[in-house]
Amino acid sequence: MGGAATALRGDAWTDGNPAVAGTRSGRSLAFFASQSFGLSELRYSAFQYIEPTTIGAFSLGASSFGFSDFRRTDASVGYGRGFAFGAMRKAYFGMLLSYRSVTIAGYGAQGAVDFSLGGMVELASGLDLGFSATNVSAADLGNGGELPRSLAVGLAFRPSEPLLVSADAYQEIGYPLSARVGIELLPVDVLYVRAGAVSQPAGLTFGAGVRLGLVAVDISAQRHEVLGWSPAGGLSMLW
Amino acid sequence: MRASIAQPATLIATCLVLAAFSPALSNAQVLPDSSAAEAIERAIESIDEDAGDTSLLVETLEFLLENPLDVNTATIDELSLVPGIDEGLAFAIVDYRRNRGPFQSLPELQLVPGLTEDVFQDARPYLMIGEELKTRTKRPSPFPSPVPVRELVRGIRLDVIQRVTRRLDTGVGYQDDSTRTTYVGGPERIYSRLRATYGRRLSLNLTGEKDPGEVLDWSPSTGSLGYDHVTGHAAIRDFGRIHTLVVGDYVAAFGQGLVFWKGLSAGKGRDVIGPASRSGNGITPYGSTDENGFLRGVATTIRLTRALSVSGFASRRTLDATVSASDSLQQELEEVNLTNTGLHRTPTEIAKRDALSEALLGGNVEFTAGKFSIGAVAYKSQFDKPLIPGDAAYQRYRFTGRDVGIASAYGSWFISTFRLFGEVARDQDGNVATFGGTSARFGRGIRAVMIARRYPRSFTNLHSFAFGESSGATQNESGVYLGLRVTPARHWVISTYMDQYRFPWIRFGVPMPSSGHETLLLVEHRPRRWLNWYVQARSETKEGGVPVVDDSGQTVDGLRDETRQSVRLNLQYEFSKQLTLRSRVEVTRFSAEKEPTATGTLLLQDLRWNVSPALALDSRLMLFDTDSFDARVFTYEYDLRYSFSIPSFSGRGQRTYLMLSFKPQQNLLLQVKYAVTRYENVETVGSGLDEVAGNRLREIRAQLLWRI
Repeated sequence: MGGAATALRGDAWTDGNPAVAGTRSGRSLAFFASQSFGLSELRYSAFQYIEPTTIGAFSLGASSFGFSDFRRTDASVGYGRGFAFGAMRKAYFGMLLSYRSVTIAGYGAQGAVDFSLGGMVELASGLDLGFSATNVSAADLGNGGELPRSLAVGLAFRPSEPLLVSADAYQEIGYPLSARVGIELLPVDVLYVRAGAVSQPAGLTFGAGVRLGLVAVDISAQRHEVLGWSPAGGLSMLW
Repeated sequence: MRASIAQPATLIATCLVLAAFSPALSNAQVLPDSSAAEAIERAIESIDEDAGDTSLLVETLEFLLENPLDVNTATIDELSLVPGIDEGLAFAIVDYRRNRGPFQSLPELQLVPGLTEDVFQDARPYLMIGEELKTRTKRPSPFPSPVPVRELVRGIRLDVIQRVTRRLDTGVGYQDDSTRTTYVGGPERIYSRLRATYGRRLSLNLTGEKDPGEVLDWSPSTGSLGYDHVTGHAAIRDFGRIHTLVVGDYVAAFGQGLVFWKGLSAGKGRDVIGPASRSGNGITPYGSTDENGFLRGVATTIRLTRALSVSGFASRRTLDATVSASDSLQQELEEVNLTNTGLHRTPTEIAKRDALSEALLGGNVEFTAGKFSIGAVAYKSQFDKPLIPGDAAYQRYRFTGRDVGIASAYGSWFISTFRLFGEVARDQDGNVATFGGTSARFGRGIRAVMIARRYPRSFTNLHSFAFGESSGATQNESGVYLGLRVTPARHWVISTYMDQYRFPWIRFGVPMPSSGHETLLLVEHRPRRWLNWYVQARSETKEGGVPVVDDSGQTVDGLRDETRQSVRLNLQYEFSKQLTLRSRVEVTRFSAEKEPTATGTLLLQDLRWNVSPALALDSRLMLFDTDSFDARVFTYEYDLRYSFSIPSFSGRGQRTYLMLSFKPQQNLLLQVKYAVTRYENVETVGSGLDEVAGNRLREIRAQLLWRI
């Protein structure tokens, strides 16, 4: 969906918005892998587990990116919860504490802890607003090693069950502001079809998912006009 | 000069202290809640982003919020100060109550033609229904009755405001270094204010401010009261025939500002109707932080009859100026220019302090009869040294000499739903400036204004601030402005303006007569009271200076079009009384011939959490990324109560702040704000004496507001 996931309620991943954990009513365990532009050196893999409790939802995740000469490894714990703030509805907020390390062959490894925040509210029936900020503590690896800092604000609109439209504005320091839009359709009961577009770097995404009972399988591909296709796939268990 | 201000300032301070400890003041007063600050924020957001100092605007709105206007007695001039209400709507309100009797409730205002729901929501915090008029049947006295002294003393309210702000990362100007110029004082900005008021009737004020880098020097024997800027006044309003009487510092605005306009001025912005069709509000006591925009002396407005009022004002004050001599032995003056930074941080800046003195005497007469009003304003002033601008071409038509004499006539006429207004001014050299326009209301949902202006290049503009492109310069400009505000459906507002202007003489950095045009389109939707969003697009193309190579291969001065455009999407959502969110994304673009196009972006998220009635938290995270200063982005940010700012950002980085507001008692508010801006790919921030090593700027701001 073009990466427009900041306002997607109930998602199994909290990377896009730590507040998402609080919107889940059940447990989830998700795995994800991608290989940008088909290059094994740009392989990314991750997993995440979300455990809702009566005092909020906790998440645990890890990811790895790169290859033997350059590898970035992240491990995170998160917490998300809904708060009434004096209303009958709930606004959801979450945070993610991540340990991020970078290993460069011949140079060793550096790591740092950063802190991310997110929020999500329902503006109107079927219309959600989400925001998410990574590394708000501006942690870095030292010696000029920057860790990404970003802010995303998004809307998700689900006018009816078979249709979901989402849009994000995403800014990461050092990169241009990016507009992301996505659409998800449910043509038959178990099959999801997705498409999206990203403005920076310009690209289109396509995907599909099948959900059978507790298990969901998703595949997607993003096309960059110069560098080509980036395939990705995921497996989720939701219960 | 310091000696001259010491005496009245001491007198006012004594009055304030006596008032503070008066046994009559036993009842604690209640501070306005956060909704008052939010009302001001909404108004501030609608003004031009590069309008500069907003302290005067805040001052006026703050006063209105704390002393709401009685819609059954307020005049057209007073009502037109309220955000969202222009002169035409103000007249419609007055006309409505004249024909149908006093308003019984504020929502009844929405029956006034043209006063739509969105206007009402913006204006409501500034208005009230006076108790005594709800049931009145006979015509009230044309002049407010004086308040008995006993009642006045019992009802007086004292505010104490103490604010200290400081950058934690200070510039090289604060470092000890004998090899170069440094600032004479510390990096703190200190602001103190004592104010005693009785509604709108009485105001005693003493304000002191020290800017960063200025010295805090307490030496009453030499007339120094510690603060670099000290302002104060004693004022009464609405006492019988006395509309206003101010002793001390004041501002004044008459007509459309061709001759005299010091004080509140909004300029072009999201309010496309009001600023263009404004009229001066006469004399107002002054107690703000702008060190140049006020007069010092005595001023009064007397109502001779219900329809006729006269004003007189006298001022004598010193001003900062650059005085340079071509021959230091003979002191032959070469150049004397006014400076208006108000900063006295280095020996050079201190040398400019009080370098010039101006004595001013002026008057105004105004006659209002139903739908028709006319007035005239004039003043004469004399400087102790002649003003001598430099010999640069762009300075050629600036005022030269010691004596100024200028006058104007202005008027306003309501015809059905139309209002015609205008002003004609003539200075001592015979230059004539003109301003004229019409505003109109069509049906309930359409309001429009059209104005034309012509300010000659040599027009004397020392105390003018008329509507225009050049931030009130009222000189060297002519133009036409068209503003339109449409409510196509309930909850929707579309606003637009187009302004075309021309500068008949060269300006700083622009070597030839030049021109430009600007357009704004705003679509705003407020589907619920707690949800609003808008899209604003703005484009301005203006000719700027550029060196060009002519046919003979010589480099000569030329012109080029420079275009600045921006698009903004803003969404504000009040989840509950406890939680408010605001998101904004903005893209700017600057293009000019022979220069690569520069773009800028801004993305921000605000969160306001009223944890409890006593505790509130404001926070912001903002990322910005601009290719150049020309593509800079502006954004309003929450700040200490009654302190507002619209900073601009260029470069690439992140801005965050956290502000804590604690109200342990109904009459006490403590606020602390911590803000940090981090820039990317830079080793220093700022320039000159403000250059900071590193890539971040941290600031802490604290304020105590105590109402006795």
